[in-house]
Amino acid sequence: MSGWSPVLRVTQRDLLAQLRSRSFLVQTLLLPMILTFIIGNALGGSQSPAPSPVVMVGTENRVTKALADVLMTRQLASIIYATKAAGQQMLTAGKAIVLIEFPVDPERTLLRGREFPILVMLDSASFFRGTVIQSIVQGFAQQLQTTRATLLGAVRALKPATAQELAALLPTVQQKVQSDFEARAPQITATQITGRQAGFFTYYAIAFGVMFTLLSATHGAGSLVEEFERGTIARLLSAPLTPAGLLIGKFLALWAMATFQLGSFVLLSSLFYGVRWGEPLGVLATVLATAAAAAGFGGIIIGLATSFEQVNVLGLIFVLVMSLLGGSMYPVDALPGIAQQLSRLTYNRWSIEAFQLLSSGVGSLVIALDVAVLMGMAVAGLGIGAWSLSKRLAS
Amino acid sequence: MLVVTELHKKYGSFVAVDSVSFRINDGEVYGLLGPNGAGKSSTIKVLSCLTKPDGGHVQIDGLDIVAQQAQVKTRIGIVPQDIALYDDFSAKENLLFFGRLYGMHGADLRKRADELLEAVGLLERGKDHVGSFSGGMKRRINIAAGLMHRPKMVYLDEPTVGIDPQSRRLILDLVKRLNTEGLTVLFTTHYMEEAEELCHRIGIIDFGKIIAEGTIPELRAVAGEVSPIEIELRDVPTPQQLEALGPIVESLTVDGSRLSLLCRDSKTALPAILQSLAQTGARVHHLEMDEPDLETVFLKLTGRRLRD
Repeated sequence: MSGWSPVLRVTQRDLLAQLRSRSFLVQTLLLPMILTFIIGNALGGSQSPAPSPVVMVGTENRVTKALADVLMTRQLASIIYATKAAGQQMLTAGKAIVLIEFPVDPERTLLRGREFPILVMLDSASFFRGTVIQSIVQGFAQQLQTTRATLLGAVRALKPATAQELAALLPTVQQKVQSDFEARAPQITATQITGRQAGFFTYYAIAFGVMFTLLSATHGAGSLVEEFERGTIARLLSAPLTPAGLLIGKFLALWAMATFQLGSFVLLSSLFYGVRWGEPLGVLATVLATAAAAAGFGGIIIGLATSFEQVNVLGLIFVLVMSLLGGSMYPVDALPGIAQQLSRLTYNRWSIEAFQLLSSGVGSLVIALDVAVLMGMAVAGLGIGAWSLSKRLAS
Repeated sequence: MLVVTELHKKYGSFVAVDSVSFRINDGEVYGLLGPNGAGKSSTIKVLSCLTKPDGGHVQIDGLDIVAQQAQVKTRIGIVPQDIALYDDFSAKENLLFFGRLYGMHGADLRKRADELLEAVGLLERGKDHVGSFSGGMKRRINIAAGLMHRPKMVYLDEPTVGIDPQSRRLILDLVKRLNTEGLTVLFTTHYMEEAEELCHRIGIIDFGKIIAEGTIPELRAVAGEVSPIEIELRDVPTPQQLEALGPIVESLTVDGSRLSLLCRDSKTALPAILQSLAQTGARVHHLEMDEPDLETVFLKLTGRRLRD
């Protein structure tokens, strides 16, 4: 390469041409914002979802109230007491997402040591939230079982001779067991959650931001085809610019545009939708690495495609396959095992993982591997592109 | 300025340039003449550093085109046959961009762009997008773009194809003016009259080989005493009937009702030709005799017309 000046001139020209394009703002900023809003709300609601309506069959008693307290304290549910038939109707009408039915007199049933069936019905349209409530009900049932076993064990140990003795014993034992439970309750220390599962809205904001960055980069890769079709390629390469220099110039333009696009999306989604992207330095590193990897895939297309049709087809293949496998359309954790393994080859997987980690509150160092893999993809893409282009120009 | 020695270029098994040698002196306008597919564009591609030669050597201003490519590139300017400009940029933005590619900047860059816009008669339209220009205006900016970095030598590849007479005149005058200012020019064209008007020397290329080279008088001498005769006929004779002309003419090509003949002594041969045609029943509609030109030379050397 004969110096960086002509390389940077190519970058400058491509950037100017992109910024003058009328479709640029629509494709790079508006479309991802709109899609994130639609899909994010459709799948998961906003960042602070309202409590979901849950039907308790029958009337309030000590057992149902205890469960209701748990669900309402966590802001997961608002409780409606109704008959079973009315509850089922509410489920089918979408007015409730879960129905819970305990035995008619749950306290008495417990103390008598009888069967204790609990029925949980879920609205399949709210499967994810319903599953969370179901798991809380299961935990609650286990707690009831432990309390019952302890209480009955204590009563049996005292061996009351008559029903009157039993009736006299029960309140005392119950009170003692309860006070003992409270005195020796397990100590739970709450710490900051560092899990990867951000809310659905945040997840799809990340997933779409990453996918649209790749879409724009692959679309922008058509700029070299334009040089060939216009005939300007001869002018460029007869200037002090090598094919590798030309490719680097175009790669830098794609990188800059992708950084601008993803950076703006991060800013806008955080301002308008309240998406929490996480620690700024880590987000900046991930934005740069994601944009570089997207530009790298653009570089491969630049090197391979000889027509706009090929740019579109290759771009579509890259975007669809990587977005499907890499988590931009469906969370990777929900994919079959082999697909999860293959997802490691996609740019979306590493980028989404890094953004999710940052969004869940971890520090920047944790995403070092993700950023390194993305930068590796960028370098590999640029290398493949340069090799293909040099080969094509030599023939 | 330019020395091409035994240049060889092939694509797969197809030999595009076959041991071509020629030289262009400082301040000279050299014409490379030949039909489509003769090897002109392949030769220019090598000379423009767009592809490496498979054999032979090329030196520009004493620099080897392969080993010292970076220095060579700053000395040459290219004007491709197709318009090679950015439609979404203005005329001036195009010139500034191509100038910057060669490291030009600042006041010098802008001054040079204005100079060239004025030279091609488009200073007033400098801020307009090239996409809104006519074919002739685009051709003029196309030439200006190749001259931005003040090259010592410029390759003009068919620069007047498909444009209006006014733009053609302007381009030919511009080339002449630049040449008088010291610019060396390699000029390829289909138009013989342009070559004859502009070029100090001409190389005729066919099937990848230079088949004749020299000044216009030297090339006319190659044609010898032969003169071209063009005859347009009514009731065109059959090829068998035309065979009767064989002993009288040097060469004969038929294009519909039009006969192109070369004969040694046209004044003596013409009555015999007309008599022979009359015997076939053909009627002469139009007859034209001329001095031998480059077309005649090509016809004499290859038996084909340049535009075939």
